[in-house]
Amino acid sequence: MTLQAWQAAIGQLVVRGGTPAAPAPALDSDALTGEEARWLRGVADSAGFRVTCEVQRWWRDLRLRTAAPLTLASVPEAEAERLLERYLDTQAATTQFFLAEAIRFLDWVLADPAIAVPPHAGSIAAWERARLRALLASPPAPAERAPRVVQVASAATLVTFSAQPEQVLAALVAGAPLPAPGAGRWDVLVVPGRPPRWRVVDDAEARLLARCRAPQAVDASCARGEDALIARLLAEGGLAAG
Amino acid sequence: MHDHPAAAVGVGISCSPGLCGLAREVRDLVDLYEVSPDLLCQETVVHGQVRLIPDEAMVHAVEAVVRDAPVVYHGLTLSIGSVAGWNDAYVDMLDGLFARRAPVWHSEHLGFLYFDAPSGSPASTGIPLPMPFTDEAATLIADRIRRLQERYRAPFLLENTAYYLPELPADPGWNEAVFLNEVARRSGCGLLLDLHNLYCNARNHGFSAEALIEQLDLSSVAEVHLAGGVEHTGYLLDVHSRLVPEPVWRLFELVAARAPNLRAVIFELMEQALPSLPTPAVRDTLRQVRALWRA
Repeated sequence: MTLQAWQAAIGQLVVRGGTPAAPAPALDSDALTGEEARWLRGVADSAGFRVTCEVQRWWRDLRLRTAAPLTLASVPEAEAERLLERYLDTQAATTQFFLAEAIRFLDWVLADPAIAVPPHAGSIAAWERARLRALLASPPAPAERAPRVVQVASAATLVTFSAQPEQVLAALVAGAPLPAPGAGRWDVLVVPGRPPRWRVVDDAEARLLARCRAPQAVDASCARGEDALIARLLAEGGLAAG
Repeated sequence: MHDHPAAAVGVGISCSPGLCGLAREVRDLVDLYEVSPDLLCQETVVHGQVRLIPDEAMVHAVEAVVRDAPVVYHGLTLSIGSVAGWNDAYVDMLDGLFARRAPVWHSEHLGFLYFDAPSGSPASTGIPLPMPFTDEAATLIADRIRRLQERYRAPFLLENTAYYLPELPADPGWNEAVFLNEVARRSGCGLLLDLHNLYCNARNHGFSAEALIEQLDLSSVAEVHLAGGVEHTGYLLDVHSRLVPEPVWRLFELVAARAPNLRAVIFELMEQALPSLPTPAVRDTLRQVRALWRA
């Protein structure tokens, strides 16, 4: 067996050992001699292999608990444990980095309709993901000239809450009961920066940002009297030249 | 001719954003700091390419601590042993870091993180895995080290790692010591001898750490790591979460007396383990290193 084949075989075994839903490696490949295949099966049955896979999962688990704490705190503790376990069982490792793993976890969580069930959990996960994405992005450079076309900046995100976001997040951090979701709607804009900045936007800003998911001609917006909104959102990094 | 730093630098400690407070508190006992560049970066995708972007807040926090002391870089994610190719994003990031400040030397762990998946694209193991102790693997590693030596004007050290997989393949007559000696001889690199990793392997796989040290060419050793870990299901894990256990101190005494080119001894710890590593105990550890090394 070449070194390349050996690394592929061991690598697949460890991935499968840490993530049971990952494809099983083919240990009956023509590239392996009978002795090599027996050795690989022996490794897969060994205590040292199990420890290797456990250590891999511990690190991933630590990264998620460290980098996505609010989402995990937004659901009942047992559900948070189940989310982590299901994620690690089904999504193979791709990174050694905290934020990259957490963003992938939050993408997975937000794709699961069940996350919307606990009050505010979907909003909190979307807000936490928006902050992590904003941390990884550079704030857009200020435009030298007034742009003719604008759109939502690539790492800016609009997240909707169904209670005052400050109250939701403060209660979450304090471990207090979350406010009951109401009929109201609060749109929060998260923009890149150190740390990422966020604020509740008003209805007019929310409408403009929703429209600017696709590039919009500034002239048309100005005709609607949105000059000041555009200038403010450009300055904040919520909008960028299109 | 090995990659030996010219000047003695002394006793040091890991410095990462979460360890800055501790690093300041032990400054009077520290001659140098070891910084893992990966811990100062975030991984992201730019134009379809994975990139490691320095996190300026974290870089500045660490720079403020290490500014007036020698620094060595200690990589975690180069994946120097991947046949599928090393981590280009790490190398690009290291280029930038060297441009900001060149270290006294830099180092990386022996192992691999990426492999060729059946799909044909590289996949991640999720955890560094060991290399087999073979001529083919030694040739690959020595070649990669030569590329690093050509790229950077700083000595390079290769670190022995802790591994839990049993019965790693080895060419006839080869073991870990022979492998490390061969890589150092072929590439001219120095060795970073992690004595806790060695102790873990000896305990977990049932061999004598002292006998392996006997086989090592200790003239290659330029740096030593000391650390502590925890037991799990009969295995001793290298987690950098505890003080240095007594058997590792004994190994250190053995090596310190016989490694003529030893330039630095680093006490490694993990920021997540700070609650179990009180500052007075860390200070005692650094004092003990000094006492034993100078003895």
